[in-house]
Amino acid sequence: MEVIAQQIRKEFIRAGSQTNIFTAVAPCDFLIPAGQVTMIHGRSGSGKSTMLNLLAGILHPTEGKVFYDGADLYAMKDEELSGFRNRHIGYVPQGRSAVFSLNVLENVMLPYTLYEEDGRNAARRMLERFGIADLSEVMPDRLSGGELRRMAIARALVRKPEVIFADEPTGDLDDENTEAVLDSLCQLAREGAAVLIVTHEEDAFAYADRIFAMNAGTLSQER
Amino acid sequence: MQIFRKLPLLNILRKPVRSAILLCLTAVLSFTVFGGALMVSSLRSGMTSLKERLGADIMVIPEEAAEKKNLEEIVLQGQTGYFYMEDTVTKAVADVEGTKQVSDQIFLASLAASCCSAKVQLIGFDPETDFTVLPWIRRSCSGQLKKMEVVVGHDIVSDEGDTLTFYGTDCIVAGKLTRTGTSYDHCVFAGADTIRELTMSSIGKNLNQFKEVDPNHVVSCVLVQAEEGIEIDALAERIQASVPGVCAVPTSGMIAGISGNLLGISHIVRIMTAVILILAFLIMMIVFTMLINERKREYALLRVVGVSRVSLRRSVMSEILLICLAGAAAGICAALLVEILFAGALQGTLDMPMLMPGAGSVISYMLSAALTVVAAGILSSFWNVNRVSSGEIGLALRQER
Ligand SMILES: Nc1ncnc2c1ncn2[C@@H]1O[C@H](COP(=O)(O)OP(=O)(O)OP(=O)(O)O)[C@@H](O)[C@H]1O
Ligand SMILES: [Mg+2]
Repeated sequence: MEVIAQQIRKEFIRAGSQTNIFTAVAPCDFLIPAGQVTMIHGRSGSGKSTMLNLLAGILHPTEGKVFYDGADLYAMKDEELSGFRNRHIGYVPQGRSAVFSLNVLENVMLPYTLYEEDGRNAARRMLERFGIADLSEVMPDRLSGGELRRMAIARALVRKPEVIFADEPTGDLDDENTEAVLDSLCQLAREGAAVLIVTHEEDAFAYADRIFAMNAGTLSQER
Repeated sequence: MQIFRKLPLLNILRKPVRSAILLCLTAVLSFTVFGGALMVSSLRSGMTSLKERLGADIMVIPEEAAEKKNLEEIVLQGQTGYFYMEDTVTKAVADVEGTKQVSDQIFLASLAASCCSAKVQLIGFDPETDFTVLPWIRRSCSGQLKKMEVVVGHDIVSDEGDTLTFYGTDCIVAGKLTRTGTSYDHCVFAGADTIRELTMSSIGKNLNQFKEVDPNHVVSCVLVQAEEGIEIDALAERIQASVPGVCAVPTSGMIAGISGNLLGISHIVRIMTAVILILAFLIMMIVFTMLINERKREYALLRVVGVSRVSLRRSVMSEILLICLAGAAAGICAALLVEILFAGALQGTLDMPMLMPGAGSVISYMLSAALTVVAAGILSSFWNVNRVSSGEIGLALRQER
């Protein structure tokens, strides 16, 4: 599945006054092709996460449209869009993310079970791949930052989504786990997924097919 | 079960302390609403029951007894006592214009001594003319009372077929009356001739205060039912004017004090319920706001993996409703338990008749208590639930990474 953003722009109204408008993402066209790994890097606060959210259908752009294989994402009704996210999009949020009342395995199964499919086996495989199989029954608040992150990645990938967004997925991982995560993302791209990764680590660029830089809301291609 | 569906329950179990606080809060609310309604309604039915038992519009008693408030003591406070006047009074009262039915009763009090089974109030009615006790007796037990047969009030520890001894004379218990919630539950009833016989025994044993009376020619009180449309107070005055040595007490006046108390208590209960409702509502609002804000990022995450706005709202609401329903149930059970265990003590403390209302009313009070709690839960969280479920996911996700 291919993602195309057309002239998307995002503005935020900053503290207090309605006139203090801040452009987090300047108008741009952007394509995430299927079967490739695209990376965005840039300074903190440059608008990378905002861009990712716009593309993933969880932040309405001030202007512009996002198409998934021609389907206008933000024209969908909430019910439809939620189902679409569940089936087609894997999203690894920046920072820690867990449903704290569920154990690790249940957290990873969650996207599957939402729509009445049992993803237990798929979830177990994911946990194994990221080296946290022995933590299945553990509650998330007992996990280290890196373990939580791997759980979040496992959850994003468990349904083999066709489009994957990962916001600094290797931020708190050691080299070995970084490699495992990036390998998995690449493999999914090889299998046809469109993969977009936000990262700070230059080592990761080796895995990228294309690299973009984000600078104060403006996107520019580097490779 | 599907993981997302059991999430509300898991969330509750995961935060046991907070859940317990919320449970207590909602329980207190339902306890107050249900318990208060039950209490006011019990008092109200007690009052109705007392009116029904009194049955008469006016009670005519000897002047001295009226001065000493003997009748009120017996009827309202459940003490024992007796007093006499000539039985010609009955005829004289019946002759007063405006009386429709007239029936006399004779009282006797037994003693807590070896001669008697228990210290109780004995009331003898005239089976020929009675219009207050007999209808009640017929409702509780069938058949006619033979001589030396008595029926006992609900709270007297004797059953049909038992023998009770008063002043050395044995009586057979022919039946037990239904509960009224009034002092009549501690009385023993019999035909006037039986009571006269017992009075004789008491005099014979030198245990009667009135040594000189001839039990066969005295009565203790004359019950009067007024004709339709007759003003009760005026009739009472007329009786008092035309029959010497008696006092005619309108029964409505006797229970006026009780209805005043009842009004006061209903007021207090109503105010208390309102205060607790407002307090509980505010606390619930704070706690639910905290609960929801704390989980904002978690909710956003659920939305990211594909939970729709509607499903999320349903899930959060379910959690709140679960707590409310559990709390409501706990509060109702507690109130029922208190009612069952302490109704007697409460009745004693308030010194008012109390009678549990019928199952239908009790159930309707339960439902309205549960409904109040659920409504408070929904109203106090509605805005927050709405805000969090329809907010922009990308923004909520930024919180507390
Ligand atoms: N809701 C908002 N209201 C106002 N400003 C916002 C809002 N969300 C983001 N911003 C601003 O938009 C800019 C871009 O934020 P964004 O999170 O996209 O940066 P980022 O490139 O992901 O940074 P980092 O590498 O630190 O994660 C920041 O300057 C931020 O302050
Ligand atoms: Mg970011």
